[in-house]
Amino acid sequence: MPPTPPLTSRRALVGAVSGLTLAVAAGCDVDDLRAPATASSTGPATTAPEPSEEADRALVDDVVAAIAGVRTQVAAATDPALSTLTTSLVSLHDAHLGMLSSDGSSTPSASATPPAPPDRAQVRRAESGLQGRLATAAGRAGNAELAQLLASMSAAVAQQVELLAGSVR
Amino acid sequence: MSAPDQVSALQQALAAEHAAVYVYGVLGGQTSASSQARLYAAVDAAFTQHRLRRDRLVDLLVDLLPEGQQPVGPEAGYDLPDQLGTTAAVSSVARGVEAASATAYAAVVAATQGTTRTWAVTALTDAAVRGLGFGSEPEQLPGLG
Repeated sequence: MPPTPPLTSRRALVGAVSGLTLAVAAGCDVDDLRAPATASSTGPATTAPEPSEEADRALVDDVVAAIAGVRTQVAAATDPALSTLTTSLVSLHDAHLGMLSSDGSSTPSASATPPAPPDRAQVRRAESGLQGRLATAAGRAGNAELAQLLASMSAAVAQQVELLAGSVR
Repeated sequence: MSAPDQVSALQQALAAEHAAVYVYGVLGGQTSASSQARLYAAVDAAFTQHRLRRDRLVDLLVDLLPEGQQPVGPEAGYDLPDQLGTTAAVSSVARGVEAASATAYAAVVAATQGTTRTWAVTALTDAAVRGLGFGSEPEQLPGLG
């Protein structure tokens, strides 16, 4: 165990234990990343979106599809022992989908064929895969706020994966 | 994102890591390896991880800062509750440390790119998960709440 440093004086935790926790607001508006869906036929010529904006829109579309896919899979779980966790996961994914969708909607697209009910290990694998995809997307995002949002979503899914592993609760 | 933003975010994360290393050092001294074995192991692991992250941040900043400027150093001391003799008290302080860490690394994610951002994403995730071990509730957006 590390040695205990001497408490030579008692000063405020500078920007740490209490201070930093109130610093960042969560409101990243993904609409800022999206170009208008249609251009006015009478207006001025449309400006092509910056390459990074296009890449970010594609990134968001991919992430939304990934979250929706895992959400559908998790929602199909029927094991009563998983019900609390899967309810939390579906709620989390709905919240994330709402943050990422252009209209605030959290409704995933319907699956053509309902997936087979997953067991705990399958849910955990799916969530772990999603967590990795979100982390990778955070690394690739051109927009700083989008990167931050995706990184935080990845961390949120990682917390759920940890709960699924049963190692902390 | 600008270079000053990057440096500022990294300096704030370093300040948070200095505090974390200090606080976990104190918490380790308040935790029994025999009667609180699980908590002791968690505190010990957290101390080690935060020390590694602190050292990495110093390295990053040394590379980024112009000559004559230095990475921020630790404070002489940090405020802690007077009573730290219980599992609940130790866990509560640890939750605060991890929440502060997650917030600091979320800011680093926004201010950096490439391998440094990837590293910060991992650090944010680690802090969020480690907080669970000390009794934090899972969140929709760790580090941004």
